[in-house]
Amino acid sequence: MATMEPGLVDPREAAQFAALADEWWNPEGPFRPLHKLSPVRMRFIVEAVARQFGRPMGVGQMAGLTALDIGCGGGLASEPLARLGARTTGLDVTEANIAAARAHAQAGGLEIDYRLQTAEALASEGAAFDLVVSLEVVEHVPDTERFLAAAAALVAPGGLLVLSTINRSIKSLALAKFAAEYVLGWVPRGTHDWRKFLKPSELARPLRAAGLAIERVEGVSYQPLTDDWRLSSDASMNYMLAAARSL
Amino acid sequence: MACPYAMQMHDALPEPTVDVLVAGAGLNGLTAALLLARAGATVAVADPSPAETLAHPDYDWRTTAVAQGAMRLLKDVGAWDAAWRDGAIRDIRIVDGASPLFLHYDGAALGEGDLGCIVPNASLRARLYAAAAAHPAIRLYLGTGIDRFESGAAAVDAGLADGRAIRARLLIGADGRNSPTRIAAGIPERTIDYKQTSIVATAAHERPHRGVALERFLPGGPFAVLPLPDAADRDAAPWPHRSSIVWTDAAPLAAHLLGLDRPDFDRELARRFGDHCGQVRSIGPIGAFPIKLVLALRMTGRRLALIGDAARAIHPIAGQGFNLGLRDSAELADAIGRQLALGLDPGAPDLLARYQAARLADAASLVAATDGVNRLFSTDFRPARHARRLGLAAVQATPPLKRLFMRHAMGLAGRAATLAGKTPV
Repeated sequence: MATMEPGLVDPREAAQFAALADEWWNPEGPFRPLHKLSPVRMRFIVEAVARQFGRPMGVGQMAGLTALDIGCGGGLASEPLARLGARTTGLDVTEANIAAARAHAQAGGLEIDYRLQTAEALASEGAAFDLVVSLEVVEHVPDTERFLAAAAALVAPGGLLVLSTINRSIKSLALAKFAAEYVLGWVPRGTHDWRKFLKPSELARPLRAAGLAIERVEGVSYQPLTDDWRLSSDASMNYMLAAARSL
Repeated sequence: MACPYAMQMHDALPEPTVDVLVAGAGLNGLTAALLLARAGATVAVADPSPAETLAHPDYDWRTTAVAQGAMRLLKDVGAWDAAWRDGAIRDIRIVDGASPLFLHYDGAALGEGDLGCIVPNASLRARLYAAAAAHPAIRLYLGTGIDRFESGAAAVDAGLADGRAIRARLLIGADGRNSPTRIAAGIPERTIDYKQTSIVATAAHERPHRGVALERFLPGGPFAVLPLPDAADRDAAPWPHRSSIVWTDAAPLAAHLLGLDRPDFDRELARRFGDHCGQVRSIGPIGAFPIKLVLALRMTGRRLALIGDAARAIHPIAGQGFNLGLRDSAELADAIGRQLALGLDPGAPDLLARYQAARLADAASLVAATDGVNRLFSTDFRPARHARRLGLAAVQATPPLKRLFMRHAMGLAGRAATLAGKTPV
């Protein structure tokens, strides 16, 4: 749509999007839980990239790689990928998110190709990326199987797919749904439908069917004393998965 | 990509975006830039003074006590000069007035070599400048200070005095005790005026100092003699051996001393210096610095961190100012290196909060210690004199306590940043 072209943004709309970008990027704002998750999510991604591409962790690790962030929101994962050197594309189906992400990247001097598009639509164009990430998204999409097939199709030969989501367990029902939404108030009520949470095996099956090999699954555990998150062997709640396509 | 949004904010052509913009090309600013670049950050350094001024030996003829931990960091960033070893402190003697009791720090007893080095600021700055200018990740903007800056959600935009604009993810205020950056950010500070003046001079003496640093506590303030390398010319007049003098005295007395003719000044100097190096005479310029403790109430702001004297300028009594600032830089560079390796924002609020928490403790203990030591020693009050004589004797007689004191003097104690490559003590 025309208003989404860079340089053709209505100044008043641009101000609104900038305000939304401020919301997305305010670590104490409504997206605080995602900010707290950022370091641990990025650690899982850079470690997976280190193994898959033989590139040691460090500044410029992803230079020359192409990366796709499906469901990028305000760009909380797209920006780190771009900063590590990946030529990054961010997809989101919410126009305001794309505009906010663009405003923030521009203000921070990062070049990221943000698109208002679905993964399915981009996959149908035949696009492929060295690294595809989709974080805290799969539990929100209407058709999981179709989404995962599209995400897998977007992984180039020799490339890597990284997903993060919430397991469907009694613990996640208690903590991720009730505690996070009703007790701690971390996320708005009604954010999650527990029945749509996926077990690692349910995530893995369609990916294998699409030709990917599951490379690693790790839990992401909350540390109440330090108020942060760590990678762990306990995948009964939040977890991350890396899958690779062979050359 | 056309970006009308950015063009509205800057009339000048934007410079490349950097991770960190350092305000101030002083010793701390340049060291911070080198440590940050080593940690993988892209860095810009802006200072209103032009390069020729900064590099000129007369711009700053003071000396800096570089403790052992700081020496290692300077070596790591390629800004160490082996010749500075000539200014190595092998022994520290702390003397209470004219009392025969003194505290004796012996580097060999610690098994860690020299206690540190006294380095002329001008040559330290020249080395740091050369290393920074040669580093591909550091851009120097000299002769043009930061006129204004604005911190936003994604970056801090700074306008230089020459009209150029720099966008960075973090601004570091390394612009000294009267830090314009701190003032512009509205960070309040507390100042304690000691009503003392430090007279700084270079002394030539007849016999070599053999690496002995002397700190003599006199009622007006400490009188410090710090070993300098000998003059390059062995026949230099009047003698080739050199020490740096940091002579702190009550402000009115210092003003009187500074008004004296050189021969009269030298007589006062010799009276305090003692005769352990034979005859002594001042050479070159004599400077005066009012002694104030300036303490910023916060070390961080939005996309802003203060380091060195901009965060807290301490009493020079312990010779720890540069070393404390260096530990600020090491802590920050360490945290930013880890952040960048994950692709995360080097100006993120949680990173800055951790920096402040880590550094406040170190700084507060040293500020309190140097302030307290100065108060204890700068008095003729009899019980205090007794207390400190007993204290010195007790420290001298207690090896573990003495070792702790020595480690503090060497800048090794406390929570050493991991960049220093030292296990925390």
